[in-house]
Amino acid sequence: MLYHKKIVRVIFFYLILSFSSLGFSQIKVNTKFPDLNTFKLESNESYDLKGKILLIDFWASWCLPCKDAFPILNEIQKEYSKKDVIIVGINVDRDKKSMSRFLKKNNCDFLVLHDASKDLVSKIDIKSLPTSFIVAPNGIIESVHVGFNKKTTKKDYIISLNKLISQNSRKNGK
Amino acid sequence: MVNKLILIFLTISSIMLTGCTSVKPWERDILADYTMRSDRDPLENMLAEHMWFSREAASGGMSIGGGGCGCN
Repeated sequence: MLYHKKIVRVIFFYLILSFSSLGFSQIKVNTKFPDLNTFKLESNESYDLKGKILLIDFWASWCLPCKDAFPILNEIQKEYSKKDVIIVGINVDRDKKSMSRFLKKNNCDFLVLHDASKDLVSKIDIKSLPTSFIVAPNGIIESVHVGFNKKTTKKDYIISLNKLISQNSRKNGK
Repeated sequence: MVNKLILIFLTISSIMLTGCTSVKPWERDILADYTMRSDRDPLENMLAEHMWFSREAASGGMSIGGGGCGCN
């Protein structure tokens, strides 16, 4: 009987270990998003993200839903650029050439950074591509969007962005 | 003593098993490549289907119908 109890304990211990990596690594809503300036992210243009509302989208050139998201992200960037919203596309391609080839073929009106070392994406440990985060000016994650749905994702983005914009304008007394 | 050894073995093996990791989403570019698709060549796909339905004596799914020896 005692022997059985011990075996049950070992199995329980194993299960805890197996799920521990899932539980601790994920970045969730209301936690702080890592500061992008602390990572080596390659870009062709200079950028200043201080005090801005960020929509950070992780994408790759071989990922078709990521490609589908581009027109929506372009639209949002155009609509919200005056409201202190910046869209940052973090490219996770192995090779920067693939990213450049993709960007030549597809229209992209927002800031794109290449995570060559994969430090940022590993830290965040996303479970699917595309995954996007809407981040408040203080760095706190407002919402996480996994995958892309043509019908719902844009609406979800807009709801979160509008919420942050109204909070921001109240703070600034506008 | 034997029980203790079994327990130690199970504990160590359980810790080592947690080392199994899945392919990360950003590492799936090779898997997403066109050359990884099994149906990229229509002719090869048709032949494979033909051999499959002949071997299994099944009426073909996909676009191929009928059974037979597979010799035609």
